Amino acid sequence: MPAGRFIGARLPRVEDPKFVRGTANYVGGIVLPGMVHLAFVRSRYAHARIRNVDVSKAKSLPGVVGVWTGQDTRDQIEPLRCIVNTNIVRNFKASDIHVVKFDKARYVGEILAVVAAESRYIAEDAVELIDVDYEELEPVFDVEKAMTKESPLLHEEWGDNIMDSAAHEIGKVDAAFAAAAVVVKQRFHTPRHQAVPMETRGCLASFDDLKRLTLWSSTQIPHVVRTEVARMLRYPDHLITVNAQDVGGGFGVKCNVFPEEPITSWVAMQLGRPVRWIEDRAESFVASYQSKEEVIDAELAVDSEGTILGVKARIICDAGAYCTAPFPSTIEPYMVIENIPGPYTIKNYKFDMYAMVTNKTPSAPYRGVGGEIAALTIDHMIHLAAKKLGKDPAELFRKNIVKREQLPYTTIAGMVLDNASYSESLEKALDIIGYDKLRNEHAELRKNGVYRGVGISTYAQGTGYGSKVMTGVFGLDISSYESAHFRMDPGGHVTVGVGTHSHGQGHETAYAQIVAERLGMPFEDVTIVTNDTSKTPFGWGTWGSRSAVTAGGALVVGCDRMVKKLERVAAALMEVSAADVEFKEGAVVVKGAPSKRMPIKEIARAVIYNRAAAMPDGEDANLELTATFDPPQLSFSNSTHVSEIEVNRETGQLKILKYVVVQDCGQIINPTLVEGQIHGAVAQGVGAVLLEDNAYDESCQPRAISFMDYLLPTAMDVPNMTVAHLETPSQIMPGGFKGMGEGGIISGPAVIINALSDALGGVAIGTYPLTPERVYQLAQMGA
Amino acid sequence: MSDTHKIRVTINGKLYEREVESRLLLGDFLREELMLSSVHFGCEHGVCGACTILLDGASVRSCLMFAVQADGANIATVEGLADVRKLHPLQQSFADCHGLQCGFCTPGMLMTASDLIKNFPLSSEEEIRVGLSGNLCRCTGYQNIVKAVQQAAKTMREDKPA
Repeated sequence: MPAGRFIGARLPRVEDPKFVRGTANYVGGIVLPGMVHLAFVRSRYAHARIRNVDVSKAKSLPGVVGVWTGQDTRDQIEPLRCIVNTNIVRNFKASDIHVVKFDKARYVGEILAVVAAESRYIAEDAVELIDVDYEELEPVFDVEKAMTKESPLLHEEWGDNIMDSAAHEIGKVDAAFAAAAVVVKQRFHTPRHQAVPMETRGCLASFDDLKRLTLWSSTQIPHVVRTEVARMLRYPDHLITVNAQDVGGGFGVKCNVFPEEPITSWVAMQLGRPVRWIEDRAESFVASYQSKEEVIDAELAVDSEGTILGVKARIICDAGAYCTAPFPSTIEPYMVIENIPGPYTIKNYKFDMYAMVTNKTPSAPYRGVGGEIAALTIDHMIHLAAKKLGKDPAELFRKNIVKREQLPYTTIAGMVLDNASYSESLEKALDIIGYDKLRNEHAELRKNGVYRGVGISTYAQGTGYGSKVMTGVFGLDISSYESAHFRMDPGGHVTVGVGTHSHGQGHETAYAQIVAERLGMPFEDVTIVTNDTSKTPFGWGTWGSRSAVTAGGALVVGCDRMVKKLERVAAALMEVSAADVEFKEGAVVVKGAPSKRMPIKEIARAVIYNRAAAMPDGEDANLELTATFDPPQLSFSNSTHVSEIEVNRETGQLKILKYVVVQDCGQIINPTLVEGQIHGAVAQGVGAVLLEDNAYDESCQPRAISFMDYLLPTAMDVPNMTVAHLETPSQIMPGGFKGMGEGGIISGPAVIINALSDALGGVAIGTYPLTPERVYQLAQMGA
Repeated sequence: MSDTHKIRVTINGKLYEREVESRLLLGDFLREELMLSSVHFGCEHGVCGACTILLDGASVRSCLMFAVQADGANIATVEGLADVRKLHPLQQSFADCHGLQCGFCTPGMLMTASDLIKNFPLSSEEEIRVGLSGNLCRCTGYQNIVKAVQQAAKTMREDKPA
């Protein structure tokens, strides 16, 4: 579809006024009459039996409204549960999460008791008065020790600490390695990270006299939360509304269902008063899920020309204490497996994967799931192989990347790469940064003791996970279509409810651009509604770079069906045959008689308001419909990142000088929004590689519980980026859209690590964040 | 609970008299008692800057002060920046430059930026980045926020009568 008036245009966001005026409705800003406040007693130990929880002192504190322990809730609230089909994922072991623990705590931060009070201040006072009698158990800290027979067990009924495992060989890997000119062997230990949206999580529940529960929650998946809260409270879905009106960032961590959602709802139903809980930041570092900690032993075999012959990887994911829901903690390592071969023509691949439980906060999806660690693994090894061969890394990337004429190309991991621009994006990125010129400059500067380096990383990102993939490949208990409900009013405007969730992406703008374009309507005549289960059709929320693809697809399908209905009813109203009319620029026109036409506004008023009597048989007097789109297969976005850095070998200081992104996400809906997503995701990649670490000590006590420990990138840390676009429309998805929200983070660690290695003469780098101390140590090793 | 104090505070041009508990944070006072919901808490330990307000013209973190310490002060929040008809040039610039996504850090960014533009020369991009380094944003990568502050500084200084 060619770019039109609205699709592809840099329209300003319709949602901005409420944000710049400070009037957005984040859950923490909603105050209801009679509202009480929750605070939680959370486990201080990583692994301990709960012998007793004494709440007597807390109960008698003035202002306390109620106190509950796991013994009170265990028969009242069903546990959180991730259902995985073990006919498909054969080694998966389930681990229910009781929302308030009564037997054993398995990580620091698990909820042991709930306090409701007249103010948050009093609720926290009461938390201090609750005595928990713990029996400390030996914690499981290290994923490799967790595999041994001597290791303590988190879930005794499993008999080991393995949540899931898989192994497979495709091709003849040993033969490939035997024929190699160069083999790179590298261990990676990627740090534990957190998404850290600026708004922590929060819930507000209200239960009214009609027995209707309204739950405001800072979530990316309001419909899923409603279904799960209904199950856990054994309460009917239709009496529950989940409203996630304004959410201050998600990045994946808010696409989990969390214990606080059913607990807050249950307390509101017990008390008959509104109940609010807002996570504080220290709480968030242990209670919101973590991500991406893996130990990977990888090997790459290349021939003397730099062609990749084979790859081996052993991936051990630190999944934390339980499997999260609805997306299992194992999604991360499975996506690492899928993405290690990247967009490269690799013929032989062998992997084994283990997801181990440890006494840490559970691991769950965070932007770039699997892709970031996979890109680091393969792209750093390609870079190191080039250094060993005495070749320029760009030459190896060029040689091994999938070419346009090879598409569609099935990677060795089974990913079907559709129409995209892999080598074009690589060449364009190298051209923009002036790669060859930088190489010469760097050689000169090096003579004067100035150490600069340039790094390359490319990726293919599968977007538009549909129901077939979710249930048939991942074996999950959820689908992944998306729906759009169109309702035209008598004035000829259209309101479209969509089941995805907008928390910064600008869906209200981007979706309206699609609808206005396809229906030939003024942009202002389209209103998009999302984020509230009572106003939108059932949908799966926003995660996995899915919204532009799945909801975009539903919008295109819905517009096409709306056009068909407009043609049928307008033909009847104009008393001509439906075969003789066509839809053009917002009006139904009689073919060959362009003066005979009905614009949408006239059709809408006639159908809905004053000419229902003229409707032909079988046509309802409305302009409403619900369209659904379920992606039949993935469509791949692609990108190349190239960055130049300078390193001070004496101080360990690393400075990013240039950062170039060339992105292809198919048909662009709004370039400004696409660039905003790239900027933000790259900043998270920069934070990931330079600063961020959810470190634990060996007793599994968290070391990062404030912004003084877990460093987020500031305006001083994130470089200016140059972003350029390529546009290869998807031939799979309606409208040609591909997803891209996560993409920018995927190459972040790989590109900076390759640039640093380049500056230091090809040193291998297996872990990060690249603190000045680590960089200094690498500088001592490097040439 | 007798540990309370009477305070008088001018907020966005309006005088308030309230009885507050000693330990009540200024940010909680503004959010919960006066319903100024633009004041967002992102960390409650003075690092993220989401709760930034102007206190007697200077940007401060409302999570690091008690309400009682604001007795007699003149406070400005985003709610007081503009009227319903027209956005303040800073608000307009943030919208024009796509300097916000989820919007949670935005009120703090706007109050910090208004202090920066009024009280600092901001002659280079580096100065703007230093000035904004106490306000965390997880969505934008800061690039468009920096652009927005540059644009607003230009507009506000041109609009100012000589």
